[in-house]
Amino acid sequence: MEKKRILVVDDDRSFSRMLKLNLESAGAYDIRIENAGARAVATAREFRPHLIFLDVIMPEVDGGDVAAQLKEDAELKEIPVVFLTALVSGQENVVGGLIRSGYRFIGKLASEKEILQCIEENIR
Amino acid sequence: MTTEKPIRILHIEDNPGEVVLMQAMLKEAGADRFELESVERLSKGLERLASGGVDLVMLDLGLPDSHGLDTFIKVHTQSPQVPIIVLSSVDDESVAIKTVHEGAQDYVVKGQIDAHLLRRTIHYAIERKRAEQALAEQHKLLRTLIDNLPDLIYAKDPQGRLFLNNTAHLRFLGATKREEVLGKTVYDCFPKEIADAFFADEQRVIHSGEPLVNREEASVDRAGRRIWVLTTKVPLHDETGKPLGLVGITRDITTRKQIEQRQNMHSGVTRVLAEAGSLEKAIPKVLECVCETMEWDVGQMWSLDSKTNRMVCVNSYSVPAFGTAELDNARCQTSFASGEGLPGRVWAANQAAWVADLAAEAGSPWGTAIIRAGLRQCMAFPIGDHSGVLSVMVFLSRTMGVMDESLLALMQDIGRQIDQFVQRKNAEDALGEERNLLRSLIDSLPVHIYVKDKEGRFIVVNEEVARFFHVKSPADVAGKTDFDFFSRELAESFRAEEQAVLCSGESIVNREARVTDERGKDRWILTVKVPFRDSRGNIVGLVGATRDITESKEAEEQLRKANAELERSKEELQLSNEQLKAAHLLLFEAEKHHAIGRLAAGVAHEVKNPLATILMGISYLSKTVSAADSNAASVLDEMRHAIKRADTIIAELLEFSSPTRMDSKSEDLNAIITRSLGLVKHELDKHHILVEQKLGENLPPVQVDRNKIEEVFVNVFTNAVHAMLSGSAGKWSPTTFVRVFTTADHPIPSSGMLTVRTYAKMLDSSEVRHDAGDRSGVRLRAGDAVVVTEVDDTGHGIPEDNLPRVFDPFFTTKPTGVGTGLGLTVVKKILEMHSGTIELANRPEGGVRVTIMFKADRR
Repeated sequence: MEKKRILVVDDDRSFSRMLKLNLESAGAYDIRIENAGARAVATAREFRPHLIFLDVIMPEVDGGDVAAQLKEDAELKEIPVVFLTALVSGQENVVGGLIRSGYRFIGKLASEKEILQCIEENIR
Repeated sequence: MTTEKPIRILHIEDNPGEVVLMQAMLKEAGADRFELESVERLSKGLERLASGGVDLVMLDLGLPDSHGLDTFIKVHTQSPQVPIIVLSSVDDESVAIKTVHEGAQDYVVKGQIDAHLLRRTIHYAIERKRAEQALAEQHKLLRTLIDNLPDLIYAKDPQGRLFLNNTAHLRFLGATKREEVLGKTVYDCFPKEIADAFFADEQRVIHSGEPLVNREEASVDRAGRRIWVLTTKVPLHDETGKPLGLVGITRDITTRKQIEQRQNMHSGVTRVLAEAGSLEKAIPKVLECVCETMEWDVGQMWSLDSKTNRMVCVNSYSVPAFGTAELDNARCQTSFASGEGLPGRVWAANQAAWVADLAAEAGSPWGTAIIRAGLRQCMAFPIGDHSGVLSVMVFLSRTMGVMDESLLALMQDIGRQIDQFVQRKNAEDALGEERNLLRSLIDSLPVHIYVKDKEGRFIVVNEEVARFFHVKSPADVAGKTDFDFFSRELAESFRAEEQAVLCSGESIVNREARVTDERGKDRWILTVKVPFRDSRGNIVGLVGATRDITESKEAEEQLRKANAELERSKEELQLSNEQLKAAHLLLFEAEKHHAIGRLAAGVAHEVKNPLATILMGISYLSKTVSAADSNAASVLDEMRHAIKRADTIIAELLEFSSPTRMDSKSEDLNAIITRSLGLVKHELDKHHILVEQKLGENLPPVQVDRNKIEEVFVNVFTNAVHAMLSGSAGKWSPTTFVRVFTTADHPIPSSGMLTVRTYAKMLDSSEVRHDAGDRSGVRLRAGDAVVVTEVDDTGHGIPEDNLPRVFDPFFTTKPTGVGTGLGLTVVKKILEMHSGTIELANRPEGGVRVTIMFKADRR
C-alpha cells in the first residue's frame, strides 16, 4: 500500500524534524518538510501530499497566505490542510482539529496520538 | 551938593601960616563943605590916617620928620585908597610931579592957588581916586574870574607871542610863574606837527579878523598823551583896525570825548552783535567798530585752539591807513600758550590788560612785528564764560592814548557782552532747533493740532490739518475759522465748545464725539482743547488736538467681538481638552491591551514551539527507550506533564491579555450604526446635515463589542460632520444645496450630506493587507466574508499627502480645539482589536469615504 504523503510546512526546523521522526516511526507516512512558506506551494505540487500540516506564524509568507494560495490552485485546492499552530492551546485540541473559519487547527502541543488521529480523519 | 557930607581933609603941614591960609581959602570956597584937620608932623598924620575917616590928604613934602618924595610914599603906602594932593613950593615942583607918577592925585604950588582952584582940585582928586579904585577893583575881579576858570585863556600878539594868560593856561604849560611863559609861542609848547597847525590857525585868525569858534581838535598834554580840546580864538584890533593879536579860550574836553568815544564804541558793538547772525560774522565787525571809534589802528581776535591748547589769531582788522603784510604774516605764524605773550597772559589772568610799553612783547614774531609797525600801545581783554577764557581781543595803536581803569572795565564788559552774545546765539540755535524739532514733530503727528485766537481764527496748524482741509500748506489755514471748512452746524458746535473753554479756562480732555464727514460717513473723533494764555496769564486763545479714532473705535468693537469669540473658543477648547483626555485614556487603555495581547501571543508562539519540539522528542524517545530502565518511561511521562503544565500557563496568560476579553457578542451592525447616528443627531441637525442611510438587508452578524463599535461610528460620523463644515460652501456644487425647513419656513442651504452604506461581501486577495509583525494570527484574509460599512461625506476631502498620516496619534486637519487628533487613532485600535479594518479615501466626486470592514460571524 502506498504510503500517505504528508507535507509539513513549518519554519521551525527542530519541531518539523521531531514531527517527521515521530510520524514516520508511528506509521506508513512519507513526510516531507518545507521550512519556507514561500516555497510551500511549489513543494506541494511536486510532492503531491495527501495532507498538509501548515504552521501559521512564519516569516514573509505565513500559513494563512499559503492556505489561500493552495485554495486558489486548481490542482492543490482539494488537498486537506491542517493548521498546526502554537497559537492553539492543548485544551483546544479536539479530535480532527479545531475548525475555525473553515479550517482545521491543531495545537503544536497536541500528543502524537492526537496528531495521528487528526491525520487519519483528514486524509480522504 | 549941599546934601552931601562934608569932605574931611587931613592937612599935614608944619608951617602954621600955611595952615591959616588954607583954612581961609577953604572957608572962601565953602566952609560948610570941608572939615579941615591939621597936623604938623608926618608921624601924627600917619596916626590920624590909621584911625580912618579921612577923605583927602593935603600933604606938604617938607616936614620936620620927613622930606620930599619919601613923605608921599609913606603916606600913600599906609593909605593907598585915600587921594593925596601934594602941596609943593615953587622950587620943588619937579618932585611934586614925581609924586603924581607915584600915585598922587594932583599937586598944587603954594602961593599960586586960589580958593576956587583949590576947591576944584579937591573935588577932582576925590573923584579921580574913586574912579581909579573902581577900575582897580574891576580889574581884580576880572583877573580872579579868568584865573579861576578851568578853560585855558590866553592872549597873543601878532607874532603869536603870549602876552597874557590865566592860571589854568599856566598850569597846562607846566609853569608856576607867568614870567616863565610870557613871550613864548606854540613852538615852545607843542611838538612841531601840532605847533604848525596851531600857529597857522592863530595867524589866520589875526590877519583875517575872522574868529575861530568852538573847534574840537586833537592835542597832546605835557606828557605827550593825546587829549581833546574845544578852542575859540578871537582876533584883537586897535581902533584903526590894526591887528593887535588874539585872545584864545581852550577847553580840555578829553574826558567828554572819551566818554563819547566809549559810548560810540559800546553802542556800535552792541549794534553789531544785535545785527550779526553768528559769532563768525560779528567778530570782524566788532574789531572794525572798536578800531574806528576808539582810533586804534589794529584789532585782532585770538582764540583757543582746542587741539593744541594754544591761542591763535583767527581774525584781524587794520584801519585803512594802516596795515602791513609783515604784521599779517606774523600773526599767522604766532601762537601763544597760557601765560605767554599778551594774549596768553590775558587768557591766564582772565583780566583785561593795558600795555603802554610793547618792548616786552619782542620775544615773539608777532611782538617784533607790532613794534616794527610803530605800534606803541596795546590793550586786550578776555572773552569767555565761567568755564574759562575762549578768546582774547587785542587792540593796538600807534598813538599813546589816555588810559584809565574805566576803559579797562568797559572793555572787560564788552568781552562779557560778546560772550553773552555767543551764549545767546547758542541758546537761540538750540531754541531754533527745538522749534524745528517741535514743528516737525507736530507736523508728523497723525493728529490735528491747531492754535486758535479768541475769535476762533486759526493761528497755527500742523500739516495734518492742512491735509485734512485739502489746502497746500498750514499757512493757508491761518486766519480762517471752522466755518470756512466745516458745515455750519458742525462749525457752530465746535465754536460753542471752544467758547466754553475760553470763558471757563477749563480744558477739554479726551472728549469723544461722533461727527459726520463730507461724504456723510460717521466718524469718531477724540479731542483735547486747552486754553492758551499769554505771559500775564490772560486767555488769548486755545490749543487743540483732534484725532480721528474711527478706526480704533471699530477695532475696539472688533476686539470686543474677538474677545467674546475667544472666550467661546476657550470654552470649546476646554471641552475638547476634556474629550482629548478621555480619548487619550481610552487609547492608552486600548494600546496597553493590544500591546499585552501582542506580547502574550508572541511569547506563546515562541515558547510553545520549543515546547512542541521537546514534546515531539519525548514522544519519539518513549518509543525507543530501553525497557531495562524501569524509570525511563516515568521520567518521559513527567516531562510530558511538565510541558502540558507550561502550555496551560501560557494559555491562561493568553486568555488574560487577549482581545477576546472584550465583551464581544454577535451583533447586527445596522443596529449599531442606527444607534450611533442617534448619538450624533444633535450635531447633524445643528449643522443642517442630511443623512442618507443605505443599510444592506440580511447582513451576517459580526462578533464585536457593541459599545466600542458605537464609539467607532460616532467618531467617524463626527469627523464627517467637521469635514463638511470646514469645507467652504462656495466650493460645493449647487446640488448640495438642499431645501430644508426651519421654523421660519424658509429654505436654507444644508451644509452637506452624510451617506452610510452597509453590505456584505467576500474579500479578494487584492483587498488584503498583511501586518508582518502581528502574531495574533487573527486578521482578514482573502476569501473571508466581511461586512462592509461605507461612510461618505460631501466635505472637501483630505489632501493626498495627508492620507497616510490620518491614523497617526494627534494628527488632525481641524482647527485647534475642534478635534483631538486621537479620534481616528482610537478608532483604528478598536478595529484592530476586532480584527477589523478601516480605510480613508477621497471620493472622485468629492468628499471622503471611510470604509470599515468586519469579518462576518459564521457561527
